[in-house]
Amino acid sequence: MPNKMIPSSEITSETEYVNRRAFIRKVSLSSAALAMLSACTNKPSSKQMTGITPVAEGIKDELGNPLTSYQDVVSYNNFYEFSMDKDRVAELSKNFIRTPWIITVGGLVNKPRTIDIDDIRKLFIIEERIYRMRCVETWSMVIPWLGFPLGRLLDMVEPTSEAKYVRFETLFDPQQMPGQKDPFFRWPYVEGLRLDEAYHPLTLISTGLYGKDLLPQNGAPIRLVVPWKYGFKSIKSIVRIDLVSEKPSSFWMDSSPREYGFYANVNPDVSHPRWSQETERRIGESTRIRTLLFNGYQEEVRSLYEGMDLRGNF
Amino acid sequence: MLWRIKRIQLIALLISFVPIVSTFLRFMTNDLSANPIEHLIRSSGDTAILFLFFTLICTPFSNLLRIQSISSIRSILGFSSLIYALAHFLLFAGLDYGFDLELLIPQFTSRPFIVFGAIALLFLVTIQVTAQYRAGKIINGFFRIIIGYLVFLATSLVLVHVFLASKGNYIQPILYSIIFLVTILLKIPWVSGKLSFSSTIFQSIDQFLLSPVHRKQ
Repeated sequence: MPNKMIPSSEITSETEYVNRRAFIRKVSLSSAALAMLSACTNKPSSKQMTGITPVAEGIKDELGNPLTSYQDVVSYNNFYEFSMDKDRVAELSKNFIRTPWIITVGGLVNKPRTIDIDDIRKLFIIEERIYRMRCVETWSMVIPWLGFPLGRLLDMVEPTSEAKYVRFETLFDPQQMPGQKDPFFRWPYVEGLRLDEAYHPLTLISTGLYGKDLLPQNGAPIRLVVPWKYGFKSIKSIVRIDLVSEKPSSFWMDSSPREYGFYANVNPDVSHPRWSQETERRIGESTRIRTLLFNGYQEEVRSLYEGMDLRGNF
Repeated sequence: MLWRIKRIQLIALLISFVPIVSTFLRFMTNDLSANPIEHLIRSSGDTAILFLFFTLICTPFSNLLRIQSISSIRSILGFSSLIYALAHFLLFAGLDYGFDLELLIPQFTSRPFIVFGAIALLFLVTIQVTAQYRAGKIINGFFRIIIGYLVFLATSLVLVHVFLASKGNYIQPILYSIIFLVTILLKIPWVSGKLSFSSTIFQSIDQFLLSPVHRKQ
């Protein structure tokens, strides 16, 4: 349970603390980074494609991995609400309406409320976090997210003592999201976290990436980012957050309980029936790299799963 | 020589090259998605299945319309299917996993759909390498019959491979399964006899397609 005196979301993570000087250095290097990024790619510049100039404060994650190009981040997307074809999501979602956008936060809380996305941007300090994102399909990216710790939002609504889990829900609007007409799945998309996972300082509510508001294909206007879990846990285009007492069943658990569990922690030793999880391809690189336990965040999150059977609780 | 081949066979050959040429053009224009290796593996697999089904429907299609031209391209389409299937396997084992056995062996043990695909590929190779011995009646009797039916077994394995590899989208494998069942049904002489029909238009198109590309004057 979170410490009420000092909300865990307020505690600077060890890596952030250790890297605070590096962070300042990175900021000053950001213009150089931009020049490098555009020089490294022979693809059409992202400005041509989207009319947006990407800006990131950092150029690498804390392990030294360079950022995935903005163009790849906004053009290669798993978002079944629009299409199962990752290359088509950006085009199909470009007219997605994201203002006004109301998020309902309720369930087992003392102060349930509905918040507009514009108010969220005013209420919370938006910061950049460079996270690795590991898809269960064995590819990965390094993304400079903009957002704030989910714990700050939870503190605002004051979970009651019965609250044990957080349940998230994506917008259901088949008119805008044609993929939701697919009868093979139970819509809307639902995800869940244990309360302590939700309060972990790494767990982010994101409203942007590369210095700009999220584009529809990346989960606009507001999404979850849980970097030590497979990408599908990081639910997109959230309209509802509920504190609940029972472990919620997620979209993928409903779809294929044998393949997808509640935890979905990145783990190279626990293979998925269709993808051995030992290796991954970082988008933009040609050779495979070894996948790290908890996607390289084991120092930060190991304590959440002390004594838990990671194979059984996949 | 090449110009002696029938018109329909030239068409089949050209069609066989369409996927590789279009992939090459997409490669040149940097249009193979952010994950080109994954894209190449998937598209070569899809193409192999497409040509496998072209091969399968040749004979029933010819019988139904009482034409010969379609059945004369069966071996070309079958060979194309095998080439794309081999490319699919080599892209997976070589380009994706660098022929690294330490990485590859766990793929086979932990991912059942890969095993189904690999066995299907072995069957397709068997069909191809025995083709001329079967035609020359060097392989005879029991084995000849077994290998004759091997393509159906291979196709069944391919369908299992596709079903297991699909993440929610079962439309494609369901469609292929329906076509496969219809093909098997049409194998029954009574069914094909009931459904077949002849038309003079088809016959004249058939004659045109069966004539060689280049005729000696």
